[in-house]
Amino acid sequence: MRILLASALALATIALPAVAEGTLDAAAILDRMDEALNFPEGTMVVSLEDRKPDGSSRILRAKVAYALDSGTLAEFIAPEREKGKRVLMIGDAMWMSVPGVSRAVRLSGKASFLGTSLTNDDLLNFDKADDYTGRIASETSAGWTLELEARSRSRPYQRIVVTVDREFLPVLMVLYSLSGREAKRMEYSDPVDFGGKRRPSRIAVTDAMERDRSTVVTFESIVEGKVDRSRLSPAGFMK
Amino acid sequence: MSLLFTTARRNLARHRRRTIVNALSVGTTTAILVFFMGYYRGSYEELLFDTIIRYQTAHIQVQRPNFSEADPDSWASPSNLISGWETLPGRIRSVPGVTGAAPRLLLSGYAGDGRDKLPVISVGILPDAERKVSVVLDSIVRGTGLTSPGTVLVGDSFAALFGMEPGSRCSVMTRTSYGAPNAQDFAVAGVFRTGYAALDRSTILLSLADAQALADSGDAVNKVFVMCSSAAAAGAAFPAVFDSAWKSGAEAKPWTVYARSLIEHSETETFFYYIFLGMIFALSVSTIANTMYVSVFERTREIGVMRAVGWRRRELFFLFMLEAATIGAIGAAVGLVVGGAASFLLRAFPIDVRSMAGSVDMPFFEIKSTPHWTDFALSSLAGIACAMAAGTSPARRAARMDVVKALAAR
Repeated sequence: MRILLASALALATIALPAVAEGTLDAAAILDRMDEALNFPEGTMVVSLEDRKPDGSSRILRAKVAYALDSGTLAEFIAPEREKGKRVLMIGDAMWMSVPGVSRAVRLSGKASFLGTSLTNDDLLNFDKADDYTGRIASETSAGWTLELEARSRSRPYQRIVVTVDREFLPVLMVLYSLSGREAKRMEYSDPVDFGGKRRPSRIAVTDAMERDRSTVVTFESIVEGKVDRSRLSPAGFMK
Repeated sequence: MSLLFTTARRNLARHRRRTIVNALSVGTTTAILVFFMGYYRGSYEELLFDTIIRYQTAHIQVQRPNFSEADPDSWASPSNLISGWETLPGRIRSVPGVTGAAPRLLLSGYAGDGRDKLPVISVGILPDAERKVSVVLDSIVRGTGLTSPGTVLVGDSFAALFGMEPGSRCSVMTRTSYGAPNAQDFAVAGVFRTGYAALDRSTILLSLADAQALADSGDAVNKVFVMCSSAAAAGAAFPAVFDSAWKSGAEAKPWTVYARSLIEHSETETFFYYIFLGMIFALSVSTIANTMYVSVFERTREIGVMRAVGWRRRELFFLFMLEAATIGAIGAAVGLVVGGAASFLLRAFPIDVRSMAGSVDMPFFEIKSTPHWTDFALSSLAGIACAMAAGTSPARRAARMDVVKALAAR
């Protein structure tokens, strides 16, 4: 009897997540995807490779400190000419400081991030569940395709179609503007274990207005932990 | 008095070379002055300012009080939109002197062929009203105007960069009134060429309805461009246009606000012209003064004799001043002929600098002159004044000369 009970329990433990997955709705999948992508607070090293239409490319590397509820500070460590440049992002606002210049410059957070195909929002807002409502458009053995609609007209993309795998990691995100025209395409790949959490380490972004140009974001390391929040402010980030 | 004139004429004739040098010096100043005044009036006051009004600013613009040209990201924001504007252009058109009033929705963003993009200003227009305030719709060189929805007009520099022709696809991106980016593909209906780089390279025209949909701005606009029959008429119409705008929660601003950098540029250039003219004037005064001093020195004994036979100091002073004034008059006459001829020649044959318009980023298409009789009057007065200013000191020296010392001089 005991053996039978133990076997039943073991079977239930293995089978339950599958049953749960089978009954998941779009909101739950989106929550799981957000959870898989987001770290509430920590540091990371990121490289951004900007591939231009003429075939040339430039690679920016930055050390990033971020706290989901405060802001993000990126300090560039390569190439040489960008070294020491800092970018602080809080919500839609963005400030940049350059070594040797005493005042920070305020930039538009919705604009392109340092001339790449990314905006601040693309780079940092992985929290889709707060901003979008969704429905499951299709489901396969590999995962789901969700159609997300923005809750507010101020969101950069009014509609997103995202393919999520069975690990709840995004594979492809196609972002549409208000007119219904494709605005951007993000391909997620190369999942890596960062501090016990698997997440894509590479995001290839293509702007539909500049199809011959793309930006590849590579997360080289992500370490979850407390950061110095005093630096995540316009007054503190230049220190 | 006639003796003074006769003596002065004879003295000038006796020292012909000196007289010619002095007269040429005055003539150069006068010629440059008369030419410059015609050139400034023609190339700046009439052509450049008129062109910037027709190509870019119109005479008056109506906008919400907080609208800032310097903050393109905010152009479509709700605080910059004029809602219920439909009756506003009609009210403005009824103001005497106003020849056209056209609503526009200006949007900042990008446009391209989908492979690459450029920063542009997209302008939503009502074509019929737009024709009264801008030259762009009359500058279409290929294709048609905005005859159907979902189409755009692009400048020929922009079209050349992307290899676009009528029928090509053009992707336009801007920010909505909610701040979100929005993009849409349009068909190119036509290509315009104005010769002004800011328009031909960086401006996209689309129908007002398409622009409003792209900006998610409902039926609002953010500008009304107003054209008047002349700059003077615009000045007279401005208060009434301002009142009409105010009733719609907007305000009116004259073209000088939008062309400030151009006006400052022309003022700086004028300032340097005046410095140049001042230098020429000073050089001319110095040349005449020097040669007249030499004349006084050479004629020391002659002055002594004149004083000994009864010429008074005042008469000697007037004699030398009369000589200076005569030199001034001859020089001014020569200058008026030379400078005036150059000015009229430039009026008849303006120099086409259209090819430079792109590099200077100004609607500067011609260098021309518009001479006016006041240029001739002022320049000749300046020439004579120049000669008389130069002659005063030597004349005074001659008048104050001691008779005995003058007679004893070798």
